[in-house]
Amino acid sequence: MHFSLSILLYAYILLVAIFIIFAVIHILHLVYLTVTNHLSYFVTVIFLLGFIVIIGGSYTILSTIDWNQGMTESIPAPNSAQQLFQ
Amino acid sequence: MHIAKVIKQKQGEQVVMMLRRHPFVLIPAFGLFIAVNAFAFGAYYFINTYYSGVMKTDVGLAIVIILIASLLLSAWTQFYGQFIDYYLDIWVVTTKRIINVEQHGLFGRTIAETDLYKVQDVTSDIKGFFPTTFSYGFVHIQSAGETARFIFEQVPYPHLVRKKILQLVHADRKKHAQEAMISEV
Repeated sequence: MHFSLSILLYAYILLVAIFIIFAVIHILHLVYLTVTNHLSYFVTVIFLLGFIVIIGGSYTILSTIDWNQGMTESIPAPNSAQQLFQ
Repeated sequence: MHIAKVIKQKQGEQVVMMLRRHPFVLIPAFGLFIAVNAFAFGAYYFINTYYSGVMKTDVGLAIVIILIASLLLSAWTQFYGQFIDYYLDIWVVTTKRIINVEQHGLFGRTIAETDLYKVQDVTSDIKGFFPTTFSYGFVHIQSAGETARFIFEQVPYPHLVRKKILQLVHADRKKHAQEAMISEV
C-alpha cells in the first residue's frame, strides 16, 4: 500500500492542536480563579516555554522533510532479504 | 487568590486559614515528568547514535521526531494538569464557614460550604511514612449541613488544623447562642 508521508504530519498537527486546547483550558482555569500568585505565574511561564520549545524544535526538524513523498518509497521493502539471494 | 469570584465574603467574616495539599504530593508526578523527559531525550540519543540510518531517511526522521515530540507534549501537559489540580484544590476556613473548592480534572469543579456552627465532629489523621515525615494528612469534618462530610486532603499539619477548626466552631456556636438569646429577649 502507498501512503503519503503528509498523513503523519496531519496526525501530528491534530495532536498538537488537542494539546494546545488542553493548555488553554488549564490556563483559563487559573485565570478565572487566580492571577496574582507568583508560583502559578512561574509554573505557567515554564510550561509555556517548554511547550514552545518542543513545538518549535519539532517544527524546525520537520520542516526539512519532503512531505509529498510516499512512505513506501523510503521504508525498506519486506522482501529485501529474499532479493539478497537472487 | 481571587476566591471572591466564586465565594462571596459575608459581613464580618474573616479568612482564618486557606489550605492546599502539601507540596510533597506533587513529587511523584514531578518524578514521572522528569522520567518521561529523560526517556524521550535518551531514545532520541540512542536512535541517533546506534540507528543513524533511520534518521537519514525522511520517513524515519518524521516518525522518530513526531513520536518523541508527542511524548514530550503529553508529559508537559499532564504535569501542568497535575499542578492545576493541586493548585485549585483549596479549603478555606473563615470565622463563619468552611469552604471546599475542588478541581476535578479539566472540566469539573465542586464548591461546597458549611456553616461552622453546623459542624458536629472533626477528626484528623496522618498515615504512612512520608505523611508522618512531612506532617501532612487528612482532616475529616462531619457536618449537619447539606454536604455531610468535608475532607481536607493531604493538608499540612492536620492536627493543628483540627484544633483551630474546633476553636472556631466553639466560638461560632457561642456567638449563635448569644444571638438567639438576644432575639428571644
